Amino acid sequence: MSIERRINSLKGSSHEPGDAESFLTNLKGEIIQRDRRRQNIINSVSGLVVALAMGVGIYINNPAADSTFSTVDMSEIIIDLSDQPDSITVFDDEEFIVASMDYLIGGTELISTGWSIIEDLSLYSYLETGEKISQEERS
Amino acid sequence: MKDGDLVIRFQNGEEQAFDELVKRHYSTTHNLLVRLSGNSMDADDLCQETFIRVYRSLRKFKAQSQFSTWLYRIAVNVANSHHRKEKVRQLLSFGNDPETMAVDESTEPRELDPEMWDAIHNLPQKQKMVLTLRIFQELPFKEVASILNMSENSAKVNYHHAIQRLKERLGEKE
Repeated sequence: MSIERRINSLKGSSHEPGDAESFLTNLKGEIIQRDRRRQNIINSVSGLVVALAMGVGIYINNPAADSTFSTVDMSEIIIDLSDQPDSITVFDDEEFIVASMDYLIGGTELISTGWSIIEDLSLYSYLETGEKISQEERS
Repeated sequence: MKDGDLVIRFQNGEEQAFDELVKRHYSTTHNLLVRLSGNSMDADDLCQETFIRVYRSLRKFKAQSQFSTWLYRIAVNVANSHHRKEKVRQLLSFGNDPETMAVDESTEPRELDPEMWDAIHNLPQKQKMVLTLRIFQELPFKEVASILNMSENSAKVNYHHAIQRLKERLGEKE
């Protein structure tokens, strides 16, 4: 048998498809489903785009958006390293020694005042006890 | 009523005209897709996909060719797309495709002459399409060329090569 004849004999083997009516019903169901799916995707994407556009719009048009960080005046916080140190609180070594000596010498007055107070108190108690003894002797 | 009239009625908003077109062409389109895909299970899905594309594009159809030619062109494109996907799938699964192996072949037209069926199925895609449209759909070369977007001469050459290849593969038996 020639090839052409063998091929032609296959013509009769046409596969019987299912019922056209049920195919049509399934087809319409699938079309509706795909339309819904497509609509959902379109809705989601357009919602996302609108939200994004609104976000960008708000960010661009909001006057406070740019000054969020500039409202805090950083110049007051940042230490200016180029500035001179405070001359009242910072000393040279020599100045520090002299100032320390001043403090100690000045402190001696306090110490002497303290001692004089103690002496005064001791004298007072001595006088008091002496007065007590003389009273006892008189009696 | 001719196909062209149904198309115009559908374009004028009559949805039932599409139903009539489906009923008319379902059987031939399904048979074409069985031969192009190699099994009826795939053909069912491909046929559905074909008519969905037809439904979506029918409003833009300008009737520059016959409706059947346009329909077969869509079916061939769907089959080609499926063929490419299958090739990639087979490549990735290293030839072990359990889904293909599970197809019940007893219901396929392959039954009549499995050797010939396999030989046709293993032809290069273009030759297989020309042969299928020419012999099984009984279309003239001019229409085959129009469906496959090639010249009439190219369709004839592809047909000739397909026959030669089948002869080489199967051996001419007188």
